[in-house]
Amino acid sequence: MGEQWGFYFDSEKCIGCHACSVSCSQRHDRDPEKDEWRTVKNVTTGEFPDVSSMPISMSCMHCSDAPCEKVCPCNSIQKREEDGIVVVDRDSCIGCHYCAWACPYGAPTYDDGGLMSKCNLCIGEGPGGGHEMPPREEQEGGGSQPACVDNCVGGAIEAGPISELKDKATTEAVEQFEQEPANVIVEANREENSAFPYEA
Amino acid sequence: MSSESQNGLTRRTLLKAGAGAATMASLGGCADTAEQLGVGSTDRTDTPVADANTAYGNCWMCCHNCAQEVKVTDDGTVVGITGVDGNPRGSAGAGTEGTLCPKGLGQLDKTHDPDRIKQPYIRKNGELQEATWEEAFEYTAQRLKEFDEEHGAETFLDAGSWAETPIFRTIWRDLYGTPERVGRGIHVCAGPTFVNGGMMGIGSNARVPDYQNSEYLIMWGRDPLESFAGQFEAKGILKAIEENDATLVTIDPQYTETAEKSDAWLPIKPRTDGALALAMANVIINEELYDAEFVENETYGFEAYKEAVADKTPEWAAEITDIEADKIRAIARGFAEAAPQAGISVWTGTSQSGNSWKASQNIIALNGLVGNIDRPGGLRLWKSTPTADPFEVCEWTPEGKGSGEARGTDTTIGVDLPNNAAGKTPAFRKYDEYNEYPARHITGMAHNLVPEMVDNDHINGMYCHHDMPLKDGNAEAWLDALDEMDLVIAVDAYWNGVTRNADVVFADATQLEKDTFGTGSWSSYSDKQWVVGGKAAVEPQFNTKPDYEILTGLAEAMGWGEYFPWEDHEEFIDDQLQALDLTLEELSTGDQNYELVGEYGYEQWRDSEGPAFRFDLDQVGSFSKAAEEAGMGTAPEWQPPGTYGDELSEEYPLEFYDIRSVFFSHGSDQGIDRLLEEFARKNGLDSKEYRGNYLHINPADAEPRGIETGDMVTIESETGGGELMAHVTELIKPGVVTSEYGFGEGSTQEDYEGLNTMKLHDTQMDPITGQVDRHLAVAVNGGE
Amino acid sequence: MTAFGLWWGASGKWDIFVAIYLFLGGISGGAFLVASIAEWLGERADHEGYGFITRWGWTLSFGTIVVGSWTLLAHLSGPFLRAFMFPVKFTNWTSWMAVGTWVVVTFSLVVMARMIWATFGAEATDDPSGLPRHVVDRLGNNLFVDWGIDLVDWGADRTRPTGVLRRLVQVGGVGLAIMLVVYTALLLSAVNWMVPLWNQTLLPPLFVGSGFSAGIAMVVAVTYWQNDLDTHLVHRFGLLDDAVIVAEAVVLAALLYTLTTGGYGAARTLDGLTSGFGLVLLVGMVATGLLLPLAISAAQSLAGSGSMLSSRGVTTMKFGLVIAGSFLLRILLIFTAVQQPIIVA
Repeated sequence: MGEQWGFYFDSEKCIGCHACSVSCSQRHDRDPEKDEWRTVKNVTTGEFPDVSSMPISMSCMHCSDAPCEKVCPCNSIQKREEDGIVVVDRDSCIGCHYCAWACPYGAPTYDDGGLMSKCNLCIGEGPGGGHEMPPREEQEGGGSQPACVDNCVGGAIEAGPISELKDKATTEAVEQFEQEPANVIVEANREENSAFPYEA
Repeated sequence: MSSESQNGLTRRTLLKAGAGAATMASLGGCADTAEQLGVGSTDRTDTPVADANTAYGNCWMCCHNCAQEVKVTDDGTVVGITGVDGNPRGSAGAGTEGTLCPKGLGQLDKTHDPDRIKQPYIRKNGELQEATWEEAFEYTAQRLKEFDEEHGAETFLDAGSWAETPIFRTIWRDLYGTPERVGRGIHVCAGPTFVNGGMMGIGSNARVPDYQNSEYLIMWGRDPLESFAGQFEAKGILKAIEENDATLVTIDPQYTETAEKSDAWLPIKPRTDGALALAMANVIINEELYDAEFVENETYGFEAYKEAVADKTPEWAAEITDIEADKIRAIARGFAEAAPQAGISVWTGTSQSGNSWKASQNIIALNGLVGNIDRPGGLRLWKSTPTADPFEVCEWTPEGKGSGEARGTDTTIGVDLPNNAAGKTPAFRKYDEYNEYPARHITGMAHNLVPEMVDNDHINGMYCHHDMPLKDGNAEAWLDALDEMDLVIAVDAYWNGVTRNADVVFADATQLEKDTFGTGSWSSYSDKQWVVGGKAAVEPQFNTKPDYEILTGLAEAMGWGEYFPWEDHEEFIDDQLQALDLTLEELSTGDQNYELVGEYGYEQWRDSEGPAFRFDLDQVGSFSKAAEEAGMGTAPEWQPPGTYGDELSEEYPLEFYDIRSVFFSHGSDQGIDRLLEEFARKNGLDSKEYRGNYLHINPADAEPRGIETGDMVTIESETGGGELMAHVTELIKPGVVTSEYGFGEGSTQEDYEGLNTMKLHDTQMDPITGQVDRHLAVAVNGGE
Repeated sequence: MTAFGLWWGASGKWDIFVAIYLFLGGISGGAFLVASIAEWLGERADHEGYGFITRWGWTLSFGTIVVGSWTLLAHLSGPFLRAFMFPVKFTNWTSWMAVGTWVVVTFSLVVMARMIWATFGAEATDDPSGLPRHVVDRLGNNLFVDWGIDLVDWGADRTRPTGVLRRLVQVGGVGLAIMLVVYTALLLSAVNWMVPLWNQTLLPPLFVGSGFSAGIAMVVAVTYWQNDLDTHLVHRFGLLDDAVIVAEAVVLAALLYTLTTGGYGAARTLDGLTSGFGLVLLVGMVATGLLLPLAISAAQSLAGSGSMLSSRGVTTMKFGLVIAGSFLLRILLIFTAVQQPIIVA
């Protein structure tokens, strides 16, 4: 099995600007009104003035035990051996929407043809891009940089072979990652933001 | 996450279907038709972004020059866009990733947007009709001459802004001879910040501290993680946090993305910033945390300052600002102790209200107090890049130009520009009608008074470029004024309230379609000067022209061709670059389109005479006069909200002001669907059809009015009102409502959806600079 | 201040066709079951009423599964014809949608066979009651039609199983019918970890109960009108229906109870069910499919068989309500389902 690819996300650097969503949408020539492959949402909690609003950017996590792959009746969804990227074969997809019910991250989207498309870690361009592409290369090897990584203003998103991402991440994040089925390392170790550091 | 589909085709798919063999080059005069498409039929499956050609540009969506790297197919379609690594505005500095924010990314959509103005228009018989460039130039020249005869050129208002060539000033001021000018800076952006800064000794540098070297950053009424003048601001702040463990403080009635990343958020009562600043000074002075050496040797007016803050305790301020006294103390101490590696950033949040002058003065004074002036991590005196004035340095041969001795083949250096505005006084200063406005001592125009000037026949016409004024001041009055004006010339890429009401519309090419050259002062390089630029990435789309060609074409028609000896914009730019020993060609080749061209150190005030910093402005003659007329002192002092401008009342109990968003800038991007879509998503209201702006309101104010998120509500001030969609949120202080500006009537949106926040305005302004006061007392109703 | 937030990002959405399909699958299986029961009872008590119910049962079961299969295809958003490639494509056995499609196909074949065996052949020609025999006989005297009918009659008699084979078909058919209804539930509950409303333990019995009761209602009502079914048989099957409805109600109550502890998605589902459109739907479904039919049955018992309450009209209306309730249940389950959020901490 090839080196598994995944994402690394550091919410402390995310400024909720949606550049990743826009960049992804443009790279894959997608209609602005369609559901996004990469979504940014602010998770807001609390009541004024004890509030918080953490921005999160989420796309397909290319899960190691992908529920979408399990429920797709036609085997249209596959987690590739070579690089662990979960891709969809739109030639066999029948648009039953079962994958959307199974996915915790809202990754599957459906276009006017009714077929499913989602993040393919920019291994290809456009819906269905990535199916039958050669193994993902890093930028040095000629591969493209994923659009979301390319334009993340805060530098919150990284993508690459998991082993490399682990090197960049904190220990806590790596530990958390190893317990989850998702191929994404998330830094969400937020300190208690509301505790004003200068209690008189 | 589900969304209703309105139009199943992307812009490009739409064009693909109908494009056929449409050619891309501008047709220079003949066979101009509105049906002409500006993009090729690129099938993305055949031409992936990865394989397309690379070209460069510098972003002009917010007009602050992050560099763009674009992918262009062989037939001239822009299919990919991203930033340039290491770029001064669009990256965090050397060796860092260059990116583009959503606005910058929107340039891709903008370039081939079929909704753009595609060719010139002339108003005939009351209706705008398509015209050729020649016709438009001739007609405009003729109208301008008639205007001069009938009204006098000095009543023509130059409202050009965000142009990408300086020659519009040459044309309107030097050649046409009008002294009337309304721009951004002082008039509609942050007058008090700029002018205070200038008078106090720091220019307009109170806006951008030396982020990357800082250990303590106060974002005062600013949200630079969303509303930045170049992405380097957001990146710089994040870097300071990560590498310097910097403390970040946000002072803002709203909880923004910047507040989210902050160690402390002070949800201040609007327009009370001046009190907070005085209280901080009180603490810093009383606890002797200020830079005594700097204050003693380099500043003027400390005694007056000290006296002014003597009784402004944190307890006093707490009552006024709704911020606990201990918090005020803590911030003051933290800031002073970290100084000089401590900085404050102020811009529109503390500058756009009636009492902003003293608020700004009080805040800026804190910098001088802690001695962070032009020191690493503090208030940086950014140095811009010196460029040559092409009118002075150009080498040209006036063949057949001029008369007498000028005819011939001798090379001449420089252009002998007349100065036809010399000796002409702007109406604001000239006529008695404006004697009640202290600002006339400081500047030549006040935005909100233009409609009155039109009424008085002091202004009869206007030239507007890109930055249309209906979003910056009293829109109702301005719309009437546009009607009344005899001649309105507009240069723009989109239809909006100005172009729709203009007499002549010149179709502007957008950023990637022109040769460009940009520079500025602040950047991610704390001590370096820079330039960015490049040759056009694609041809002007449809039948548009870059603004340089529009202006020189107009000049030619006016008989001023002799003053513009350059062949094209590139030659002009090359002359500008002469001072740096660069050409545009050199700048655009390679894998980046920017250059670092100089270095400068800190503490530049050591090189000049006189105090580096003033607390008290009694030595500034113009200000003393204005201050006296306005009823304020020359030293820092407290002026409560309502001293000038609105006071809350029972009838209008809520405080409204408008805000910005990461998706839009200066009202020029609201025509781009992709950005409107993201904006709706950010507010969680994309499932609604509505794509206008939102009224942000706290549940404490929404519930008694029966308002829920998604309801259409009405908002009214004493002089105007409108309707927009409510967004109920805990992230805003009760008693305050805000909405993003640049929407609604007169905007760049096709259907004017939402509220033009400026319709609430009358002539409220800061008395010293004439800066539009954007804080209004309003009533909000609606729900169900 | 809370230490975490919720990211509601999942995007599952199905349209009315899925609800219709699940309903038709359920009622088809239920109809098959009631037909099987009637057939079994008919072997022990010689009453022609059982035969009517049996025949109508196969026929209605077949009719509903045919329409159901069409709505199943209709909900797909991909190219229409592609779904017909399913024999080749539906090979992911970890997916209930793939397995279930095969169940539907197999069941359809079985119910079609049972229908033909029951309504064609020499015996049926002698006693041409029940669709499609009635329809068949009304088709007119067209040479091809007559020839076709004769062929089917002949085929039915030649292939109709007897003895052990017949038992196998009976039992196998019942198995498939239950499988059919259970699969429509498992299709949903397979993602129970994401959708708390689609409880793995409770949804299958709920669907079986709902499908069975609707099947009984539909078949008995039709037979009542078409063949003037004996009221005592109507009454007996009515009692069976009521019993199933009571069981259904218990399971539904349990299902709603699980929502009080199933995490944030469950809490939000419960919110949706207790306010606005969701509440209307829930109350409507409970009233229509559970409470009103039981109330009418009770009233009918109290009033006695002579009263107006026990008329055919009222009984039919009761059965109609049961069927409507079964449909509303599917709508409820599809449209008020909420997926779990991500907990951001």
